[in-house]
Amino acid sequence: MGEPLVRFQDVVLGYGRQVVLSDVTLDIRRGDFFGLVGPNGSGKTTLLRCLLGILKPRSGQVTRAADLRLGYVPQREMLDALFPLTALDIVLMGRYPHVGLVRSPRPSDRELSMHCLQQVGLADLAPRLYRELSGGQRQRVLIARALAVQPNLLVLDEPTNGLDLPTEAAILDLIERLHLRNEITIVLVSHVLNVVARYAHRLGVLLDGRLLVGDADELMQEQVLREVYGVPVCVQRVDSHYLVAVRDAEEVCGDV
Amino acid sequence: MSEWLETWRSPMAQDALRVGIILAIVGGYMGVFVVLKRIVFVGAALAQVSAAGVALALLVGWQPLFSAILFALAGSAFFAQSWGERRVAREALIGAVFLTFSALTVLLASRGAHGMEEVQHLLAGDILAVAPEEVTRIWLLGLLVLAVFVMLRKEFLLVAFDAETAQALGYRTRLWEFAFYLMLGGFIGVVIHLVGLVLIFGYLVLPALGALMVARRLTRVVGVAVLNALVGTLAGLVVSVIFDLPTTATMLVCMSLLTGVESVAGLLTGR
Repeated sequence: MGEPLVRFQDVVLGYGRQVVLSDVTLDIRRGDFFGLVGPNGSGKTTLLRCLLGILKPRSGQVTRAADLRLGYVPQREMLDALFPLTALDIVLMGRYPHVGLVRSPRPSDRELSMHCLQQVGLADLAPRLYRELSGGQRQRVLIARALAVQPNLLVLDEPTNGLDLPTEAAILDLIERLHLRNEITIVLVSHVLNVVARYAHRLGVLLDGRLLVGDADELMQEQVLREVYGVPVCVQRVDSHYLVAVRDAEEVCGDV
Repeated sequence: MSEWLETWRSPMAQDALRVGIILAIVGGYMGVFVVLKRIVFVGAALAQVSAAGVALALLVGWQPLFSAILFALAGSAFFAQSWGERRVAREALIGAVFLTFSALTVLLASRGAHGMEEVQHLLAGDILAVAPEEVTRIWLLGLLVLAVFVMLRKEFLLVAFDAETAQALGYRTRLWEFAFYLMLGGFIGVVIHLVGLVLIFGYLVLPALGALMVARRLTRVVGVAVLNALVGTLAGLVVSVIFDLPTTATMLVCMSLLTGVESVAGLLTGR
């Protein structure tokens, strides 16, 4: 694994007087596929906002590599489909910081945006309105927009939320392909442990305001996950995939 | 007929038309963003805040334009913040501001020399009563607002559509939000004491609404909105002159009719 693109050292995060996360020490290294998981309200969004540079740490240090180019894929439910924007219009937004103030996107920006749409398999739908696309297609558009930044770090917030099973698998395969082929470092945030554990090499698990970091094999343990989620769980491995299921206290894992 | 033509050719009607054209262009353009950002009632509240500024100016002898802009800018700064939105809905805040400044306007105006007549003017306005020397000023300020808005449209669009990604891309979204409200508040502040609250609110809502029903792409929506506003303005002026009707109300009815027709057309064609 390469040198860190982003380094958190003893970081404390919060809003107002409330501390949400403390003692966060984490390296996002080049070539990493890092999964961030935790139950709802555990501080995933807080950590994500700090990673994106939106939230400043209350104490500690966040260091970013000089050549960091960050592409961000927000939760698509956060976007307002009322806007009459095409898929290409949205992907072009990723070029705005490069275009600069006052100027309009250049033909080269359009070409690059089309190329990004092609990478996510949506070139044909470039002129289609965003609101007319399916959930999976919208997710691909947002990934294409993040690619238009030409990132070396791609951060995805709950990219499979609300998608059916085949679409979820297709989106995750796309992310993995981008990671492997384009050598993009990935940070995948999700509350669905099965999803993250299947693809991530390293995991960050949020527990009681702290971040546990380790390899997937270390953290995908019944004892650890029981502490995180506060319920008994079973963890089983099928091929390269982890399957996690909540169980009743008296159930034995083999029966789950 | 000749009497109508004579009225139409009068400097008063010509000035009203000139003012209506710039209001239609700027209001139609900005209105698309106002409607898309779901801040229609912020437009109304800002107009009311600005009207209170005019009422105060008339009472204490300040320059109404200066006071209107000052109040509108203060209102813009207020709405650009996120005040306690975890506890109350934004609509409640907008409603509170609207109500407070409506009451304040009435109270201030009631103590002034013209009393409730002034309140009526601030509400309904009269585009036919705009002084000739104001026309150039409105045009210059309108063009300035329009130019800045057009130049920064892609940043305003990104921040309106996806503020979180904009922040991740390095945009200071609060600053951009403030800039947007500044433009909106500034525009409202400049014209409120001339044409009244209702007409400005109409320009910010009706043309954009109709345009969104018939046009599919953002650039076309903006074009149709400006066209709607221009057609509504011209039709309203002509009809009000011919039938001797209140100009502001006639213009608003014309814009509403246009919006209604476009809405039906949009629904029928499935756009």
